[in-house]
Amino acid sequence: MARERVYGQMKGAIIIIFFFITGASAAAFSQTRAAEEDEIKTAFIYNFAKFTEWANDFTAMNICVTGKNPFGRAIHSIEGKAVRGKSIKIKFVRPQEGFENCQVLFISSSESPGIGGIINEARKSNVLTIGDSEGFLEKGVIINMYLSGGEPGARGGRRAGRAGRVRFDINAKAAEDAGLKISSSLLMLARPSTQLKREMPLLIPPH
Amino acid sequence: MKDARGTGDLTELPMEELMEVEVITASKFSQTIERAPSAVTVITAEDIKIYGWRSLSEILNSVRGFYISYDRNYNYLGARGFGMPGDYNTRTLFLIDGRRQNDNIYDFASLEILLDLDLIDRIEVVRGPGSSLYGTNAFFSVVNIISKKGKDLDGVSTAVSAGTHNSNTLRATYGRVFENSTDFMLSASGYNSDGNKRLYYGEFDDPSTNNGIAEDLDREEWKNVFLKLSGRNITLYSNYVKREKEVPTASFGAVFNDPRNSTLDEWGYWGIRYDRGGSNGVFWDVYYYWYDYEGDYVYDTPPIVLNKDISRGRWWGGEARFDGTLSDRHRYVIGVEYQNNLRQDQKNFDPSPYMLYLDDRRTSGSFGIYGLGEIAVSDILLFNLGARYDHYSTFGGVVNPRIALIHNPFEDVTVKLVYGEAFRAPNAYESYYNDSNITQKSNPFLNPETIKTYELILEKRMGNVNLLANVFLYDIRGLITLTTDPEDGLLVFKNTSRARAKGVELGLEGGCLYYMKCNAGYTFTETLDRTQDVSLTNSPKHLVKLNMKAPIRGTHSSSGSDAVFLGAELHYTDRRKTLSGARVKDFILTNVTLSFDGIVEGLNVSAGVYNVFDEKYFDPASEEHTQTAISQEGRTFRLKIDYGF
Repeated sequence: MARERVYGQMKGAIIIIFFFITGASAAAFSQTRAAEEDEIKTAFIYNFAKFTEWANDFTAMNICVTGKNPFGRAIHSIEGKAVRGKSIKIKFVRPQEGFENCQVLFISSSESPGIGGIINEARKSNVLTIGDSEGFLEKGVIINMYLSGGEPGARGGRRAGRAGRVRFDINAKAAEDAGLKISSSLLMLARPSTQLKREMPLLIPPH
Repeated sequence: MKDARGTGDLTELPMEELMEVEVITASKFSQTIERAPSAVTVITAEDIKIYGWRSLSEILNSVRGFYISYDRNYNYLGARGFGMPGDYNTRTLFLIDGRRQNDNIYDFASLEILLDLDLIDRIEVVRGPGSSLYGTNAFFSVVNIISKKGKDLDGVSTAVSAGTHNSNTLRATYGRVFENSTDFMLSASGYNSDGNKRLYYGEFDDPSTNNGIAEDLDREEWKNVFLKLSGRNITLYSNYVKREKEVPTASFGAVFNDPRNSTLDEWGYWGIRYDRGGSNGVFWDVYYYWYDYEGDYVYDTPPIVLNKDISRGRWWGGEARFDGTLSDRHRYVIGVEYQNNLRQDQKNFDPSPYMLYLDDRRTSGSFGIYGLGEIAVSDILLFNLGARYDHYSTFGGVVNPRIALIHNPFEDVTVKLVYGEAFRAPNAYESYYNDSNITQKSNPFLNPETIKTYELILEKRMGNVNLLANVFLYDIRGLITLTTDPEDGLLVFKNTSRARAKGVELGLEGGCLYYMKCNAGYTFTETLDRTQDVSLTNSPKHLVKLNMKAPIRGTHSSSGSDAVFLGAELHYTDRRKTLSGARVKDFILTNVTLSFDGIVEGLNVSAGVYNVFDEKYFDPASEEHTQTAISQEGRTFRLKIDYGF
């Protein structure tokens, strides 16, 4: 008899715990759930700049975009934000113009044919190169973003789709060559590389 | 608390959280799950690893609204308060990569092993009647198991596990993507267990029956070989499963404590599938399937004699489907399906001295034509209309429609109103099985069961949490139940009952506190057997599922590389009525698993404790048992090591 009562109370307790977790979760979270791809990538670029150390002093935080701008208006939303005490400026540059005035350079997929030349130029000026095209990492781009896990669904609701998430690879060797130090917390979140050796880039003393 | 409206919100997020943000497309109906006219639950390979589930039955037991019953022979799935004892999972359609798994004699699908869990990429549980697309068996839900690709494995993958009762698994898999994008996967695995060597059944507590103790009679063994080879749009696939189980309960009036009581299920299939997706997709599939069952039962006539039940099913079939899009807002699907049952043989005999009780051989066929239209009335209102006509050589034709209205009143809220009909065709076992009328007689005049379901689903996204509320009502007619004919005391299947149920479901999925991810579900169901005006047997009024996974080290996004995960689940099942009218008590089942990823590259180790508090609980037995309820397993452990290179 007593056991029955205990279980009856347990039943009530379980249901209450359930609703508590529901309510607590609804109140406690603050993360966003889904956003457009260009908004997410822009936020990533902002974070990449935040977690990178340049060997030499710089007077600005210019985030340059070369090639066709894939982000539309979204890229401008980080303009004016502060990174290392400098206010972000968005610049659109053509490869011929050189990158001496860029701290960060996003290379659009449209520049894929000339990627080798762009990397060589960028390396001279200690630029953090970022891309989102296949194969860029091997060509020497320091951080390459990609979409992971997304799949379209099949028709008629017979197979549900899956939303993708933005992920990234880091070419630590390329970062080292460009005289940049990437924070270990960012390195840890990158996809673990099997082909590229994971080395902490060394600080090249300014000269 | 609001969705990201501009990157301003996103840049405030720490990197770990930013990596969890999902990409949406421009349209309002962002994910296919939102467009689906039902409540869908998706279980990922990561969930399977973190929660340490050992079988499909444990996986489904964690899904909101589902519950499992086990009788030491097979696991049975109950859904929305419906889990009639003796039902071989006939009212849920099980698919692997879209291929129907329910066999052509018992409509049976094994929850013990359909596909090695390590080969599963994800499982989609689609609630509600699915006959308007899939035909028979899609009565309460459709469970689609999607297998991994060779490129997911990219090399050799092995696994070994050891657990309580000397339960072991061993697996070797090879998967690869070749230069010309040919994807290949081949896997072989096996399981064996001594089982619980000492099972006590009070109903047999008598010196003549070993004082109720079934000794060393719970052994189980299965093997699984899976092959998949995909080219451009063509996939060649094959699966083989064999499962043997000793039966300690002396079901069907067998002699207690005799080691010869056992069942063997063995099946396999080959198929070729062509799937060209895209906005005007073509799909076709051709397959051949075989299924063998052997049941050994020892009876004391007198004298003590071994009796064998042998069934053989052979069938082939095909499906062709076209997915079309009209002006990017309206979609439609038309398809045709055909199944030819070359053999549906059931035999029952005593090998020695030879006595033949049943030698039934049938052939039959069926075909189905289905169509579905998705009409986007506006940016925020979608109509989903579908219907399927099925014709069976045995009983004729049935039509099953489904109508759904999907409304997106706000950015993050979806309202679905669904009405659907489904059916379940009587199978060869129900219609023709008899043992010369010793314990069971046949009923060839069975009609299909039908169900009508009304559902209202509300989904709301709040940040990275999904909230769901679901109200449902279903009405079943012509339920095929194994009854005992009072006139001759024989078991027989009849379209006897009419059952009705109404219920409410609440669900929460997503981030809980800090980095924990929760999946909480509560289901309330009230069922009624309308012919006897009592509630249904084995029907829990309340079901609570609480699943929590948390990274102890690393984050959710770094799973797979140097992370430690804790997966805990807590399930509450309300009291359930047994066939005798008495109830089995309610209980809480708690499971905890710790998994370690990346200690060495490619290595994953997991340790799980199941039924942590050693809760003593029972599941209602069925007509074939002397017992009213079957006692379930106490606390068990499992250690699993996966290594891939």
